[in-house]
Amino acid sequence: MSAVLPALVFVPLLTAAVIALLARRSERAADVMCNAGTAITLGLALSVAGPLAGGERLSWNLGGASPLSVSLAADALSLLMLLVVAVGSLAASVYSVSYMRAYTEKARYYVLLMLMVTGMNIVVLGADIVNMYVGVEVAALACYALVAYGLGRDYLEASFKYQVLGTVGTMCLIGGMGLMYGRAGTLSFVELAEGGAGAEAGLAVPAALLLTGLALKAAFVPFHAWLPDAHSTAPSPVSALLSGVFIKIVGLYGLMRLLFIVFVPGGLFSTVLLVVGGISILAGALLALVQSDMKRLLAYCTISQMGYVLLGLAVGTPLALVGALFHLVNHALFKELFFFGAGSVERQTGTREIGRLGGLNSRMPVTGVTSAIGFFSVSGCPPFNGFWSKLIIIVAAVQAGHVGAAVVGAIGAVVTIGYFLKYERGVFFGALPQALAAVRESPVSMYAPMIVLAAACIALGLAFPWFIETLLEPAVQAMMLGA
Amino acid sequence: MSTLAVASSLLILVGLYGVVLKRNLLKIVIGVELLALGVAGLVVDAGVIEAGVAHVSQGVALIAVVGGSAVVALMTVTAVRLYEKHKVIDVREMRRLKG
Repeated sequence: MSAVLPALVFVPLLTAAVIALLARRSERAADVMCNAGTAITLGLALSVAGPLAGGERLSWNLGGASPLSVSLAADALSLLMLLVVAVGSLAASVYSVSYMRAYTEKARYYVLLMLMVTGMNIVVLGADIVNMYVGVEVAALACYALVAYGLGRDYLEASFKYQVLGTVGTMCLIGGMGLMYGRAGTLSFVELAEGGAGAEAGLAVPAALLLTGLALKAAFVPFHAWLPDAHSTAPSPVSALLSGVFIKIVGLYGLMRLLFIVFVPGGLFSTVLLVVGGISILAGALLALVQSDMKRLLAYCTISQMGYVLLGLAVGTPLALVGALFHLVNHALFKELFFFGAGSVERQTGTREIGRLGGLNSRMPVTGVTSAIGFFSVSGCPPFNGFWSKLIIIVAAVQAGHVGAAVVGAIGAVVTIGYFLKYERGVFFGALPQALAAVRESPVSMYAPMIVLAAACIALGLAFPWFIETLLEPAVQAMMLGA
Repeated sequence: MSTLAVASSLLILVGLYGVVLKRNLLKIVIGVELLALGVAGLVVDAGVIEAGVAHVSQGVALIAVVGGSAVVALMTVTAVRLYEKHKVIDVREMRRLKG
């Protein structure tokens, strides 16, 4: 069973190599290989779902007991993240089949996509901070190249900005990691957790560095400057993966692993997290309100929704953690859905300026309906999934005595409805401009992932007690190992 | 403070100066490279002084240097491409540079 862990890293890596070597000439072959690779990754993740959700812990090691060995480990929290990565990347690879025809060198795009999946799986499975860092670096390199993929001026500028800020974040991570090793003598998550949280006082400087690094990676306000550019310029399937999956894995996952080790709830750092989360919710939502570009609006929305997850993590009670993880999963689903929708609209109409669109419900019914489902979900209408996760986070904040945080969460939810009403009304409702009268629905391979994601939003909204019990509660227990 | 720590801190400061205050894309790249080297030095130093075991920190520093070089290579490519195709060499010319 433990052999599945290296397989989860090597399958996407080998897929990347095979596509690079064999499929350079044939786009069709590259399509098939990439989708097969992501599908096998999902299958592998599902094959360990039973034991991991049951509380079992799998581990795999190459290189013995040295702290520099390649050691992989998986528990229920890793499982949840593995599933987010696998589902997200499968949806993106299916969507890419038609969407990426607009770009040249599709095979190279798939190679980078699979490398990004490899990196994210290493992050999720890494048993210590060093392995996690290696994964962050692999995924980030692939990601920088994917943002620059169109090679136009906007693409390169966004990518350069992202590279500079991303690298400064990575440097903070390494610095924090090195100092932490100096103090604690270990980098393994389990050993750090067993060492107890009492070391918090001595870990103030490394914790501050790690927090800055992770905040840069996860784009919390005020470290968010790169996100709107990178996420709105990248090709749409990449935007979807970046917003829906990538920043959660490289930013928030590390934070979750270290939450009860260095950022213990109730301590100084958890107050910092709470404030940063609240500011992210409000600033992201208010900035989204004034955007006129579809994808830029969605990018600012990501900053705001990540604030909710951070708020849940900072409150730190088991209920709040369930809410945070649930919102993370929900955001992955509806944000991918939105970016796919925005990509379809851009591809079929040639623009993503909200002011130049309108009335597309009649021309692109599938995109319109799935986008409306995403709207209900993100703005927290019952019984959609986003309602339950936001409700849980706000209720947990009140229970823990953070009434201010709960109020901020509620205000953010109202503003979210505001900017998404603008988005929906401007793009899918109202009068159809003359220029768009001949627009048609996008191809099946683009709307099929949207239908699946929309169905998942509804299903998680209806079956949330089951989902919380089977996947989220074991994950929260795994996260609270050191508490 | 050891000599290594002082030297590394200086490298980090010079690197940060390059990243934050320089306008030329290639100078920013050089700043990032110096920053990466300074951080690697600091990691080695932290391992030597406080844990008494140097090799792990050295290993971590080596991984950091390799990772840093890869990023710097990609950054250089991006900067050169921006200059060759779009004649952008100054960050102030970046149209999209807005928060």
